[in-house]
Amino acid sequence: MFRSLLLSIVTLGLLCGPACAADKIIVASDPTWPPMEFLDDQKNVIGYDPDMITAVAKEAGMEAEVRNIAWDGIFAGVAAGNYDVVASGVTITPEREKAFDFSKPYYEVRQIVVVRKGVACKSFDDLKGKSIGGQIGTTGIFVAQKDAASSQIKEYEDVGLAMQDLINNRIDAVICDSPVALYYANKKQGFTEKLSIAFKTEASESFAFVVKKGRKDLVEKLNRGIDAVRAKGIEAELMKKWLGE
Amino acid sequence: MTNASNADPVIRIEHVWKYFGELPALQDVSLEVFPGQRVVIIGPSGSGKSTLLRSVNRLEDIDRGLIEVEGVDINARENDINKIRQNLGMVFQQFNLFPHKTVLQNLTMAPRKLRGVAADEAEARALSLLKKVGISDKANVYPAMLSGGQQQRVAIARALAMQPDIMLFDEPTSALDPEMVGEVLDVMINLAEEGMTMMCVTHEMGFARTVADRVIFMDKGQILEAGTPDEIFEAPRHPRLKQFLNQIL
Amino acid sequence: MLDDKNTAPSTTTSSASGNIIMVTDGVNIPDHREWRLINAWSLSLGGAICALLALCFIWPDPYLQVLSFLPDGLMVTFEVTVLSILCAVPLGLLTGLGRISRNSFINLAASTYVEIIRGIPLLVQIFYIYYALAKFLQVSGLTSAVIAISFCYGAYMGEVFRAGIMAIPKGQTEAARSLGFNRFQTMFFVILPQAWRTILPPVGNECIAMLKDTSLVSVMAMPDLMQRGRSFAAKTYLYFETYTIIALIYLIITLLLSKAVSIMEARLNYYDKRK
Repeated sequence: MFRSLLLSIVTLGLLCGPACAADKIIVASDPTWPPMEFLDDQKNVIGYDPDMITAVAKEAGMEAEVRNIAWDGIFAGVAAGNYDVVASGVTITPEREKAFDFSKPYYEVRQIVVVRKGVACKSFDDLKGKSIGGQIGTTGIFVAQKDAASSQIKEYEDVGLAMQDLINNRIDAVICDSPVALYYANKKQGFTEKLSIAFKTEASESFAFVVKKGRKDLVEKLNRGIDAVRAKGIEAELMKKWLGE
Repeated sequence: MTNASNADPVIRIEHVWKYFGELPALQDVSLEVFPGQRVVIIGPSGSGKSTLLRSVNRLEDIDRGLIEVEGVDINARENDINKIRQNLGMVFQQFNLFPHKTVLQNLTMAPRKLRGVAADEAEARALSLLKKVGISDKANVYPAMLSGGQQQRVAIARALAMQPDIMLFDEPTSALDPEMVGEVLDVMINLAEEGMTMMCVTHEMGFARTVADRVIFMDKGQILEAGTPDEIFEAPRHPRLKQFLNQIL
Repeated sequence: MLDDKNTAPSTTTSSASGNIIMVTDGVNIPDHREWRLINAWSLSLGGAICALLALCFIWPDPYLQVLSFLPDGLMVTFEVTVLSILCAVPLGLLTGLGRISRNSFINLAASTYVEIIRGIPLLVQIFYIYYALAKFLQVSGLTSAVIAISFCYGAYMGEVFRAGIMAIPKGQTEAARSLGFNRFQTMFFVILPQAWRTILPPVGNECIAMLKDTSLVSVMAMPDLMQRGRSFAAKTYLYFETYTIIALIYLIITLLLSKAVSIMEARLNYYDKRK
């Protein structure tokens, strides 16, 4: 892995020549959020976000190295300067904006509540007194805490464990970003036959790349990259590849 | 020994063998103890005398032979060793008092839990036993506060509290400072005078001479000579006994 | 006053023997004879309490906010800890007795249990019981937590009990047996009451370590102290503030518990006091 990386850097360097010696940015992604980011069989982080940030970085004259970082500390790490960018399906929220700088939005999502097949559930009212699971520190949890105060909220390490507990009847619903919910309900083996989409929230959220507070230069580069990726139709390609849109 | 001929033995040891690994600790040992008899076992260390004594209440299991206490085979599966032991008082070299119990509780515990004696009765009996061994003023202290001699006297009283028919003493004075040996021996002599059947392993030759009806000399797991104190101490026959007596006297 | 060889083992200070059979990490059980005002324990406790109060008074936002977010988590932590102790101590006793049993089947069973459990990290056991076994048997988060933690600590405590029992001189067993007590009576009337004070400090230590390890249950979406903290930090991004408070709370609790253990230990030493 390391050798092939080195090799590709060297080849890249040879191809471009010294004129465009690429800046390297380290990108953190929590690969528990399919199809936005997840691990392939070789344990590489793949998905929409890694591809997107790689393309964006390339357009901005940089090279992105995506690392596997657990969600429950992903923000602390970027604040501490352990890596430059978080590309992990991060929604822009006012609280987060206070603590971090964001690129321009690159994707719109809503929150989706998933239930077991055959369970009637149209809104948070139907989940009163029941338990809703989600991944700790995600917007799904925040939405549930706000809109489903009379439900019991259970915060899991990752959304996969919450889905597992939903199948195992330990909780009654899972809330997460729409692409993830759709992936589990429609695509993932072992889950699709047992789960169904209950409802979507009204409010939409925007995914954006996160950088340490004050790194305006990087934000600018990323924004430039996003514009270029859109203009060249790469974004549409990636959406088709990962999200079937 | 004089009253022995017309009664059955209370302890009968017949052709007993005991090994520690390959090493024979007891080799074909036979011995009878009659009611009221005081048997003292002497011999160099490692001669098997403690092993023999401990075999009598089955703290050591024997490999071959027969040991009967009051006509009961103690090694037979069908006989309850715990019942048999209640009639066999034992006093150890290291006292082995229960440190978490007071002196009085050390004495009342076994009668109360094993014989179901009522608390006040057990205590009354314990106090009279403590008086007998001369430490009734220490009834409510913990053993750690007593001297070695006092602890050993409590240990004797504890064994007597079960009202045993036979008392076994395993070098009861060997762990004591010299000035405390006398007080423990006095208690044992009193006990002997009351007619208690006693089996005693000791290095106290003076005690053996005055108290014993019968003295047994053991060496290398065998009984080499047995007889009255006079026979053993005044007219030893076996060369190893002679050598032993020369060394210690 | 006298120093016979035989009394030496039963009168060695229990804190010394406690150190010998320390099995896992834990806080130091303070020596109950140590009543000086300034020592490591009072310094840590005083420091932790002062720091907590100072932070909350000087910067109520966010420290007081963090603190007020945590009480229900603390209750969950206590609930898991207390229930686990109630299960782990008897399990440890049984394991310890099993390990010294002469019945080879019981002995083998106890030893195998200890070997298996000691070789698997607690976090893995928690995941296993909650997520892996869910295929066959579904138990709640609390039950899983208590089962996982008490099984894990039962194995460690089994070793503590075994060592504590083995440390009682053989003469005690012989004395009890010679009076006519059977094996069971000897163990419960004579050996265990004495073994307790050797066992208590390391068992107390295990209990405190257990309290700390309950922070692992947050992986089962149990809202314990640690998860409350993580959840608060995940929402506010105040990592430093949140985890400072969490650390201080854990520290204060474990320090208080270690003092409680040392007081209990002093009580159990009653029969050692000379004169």
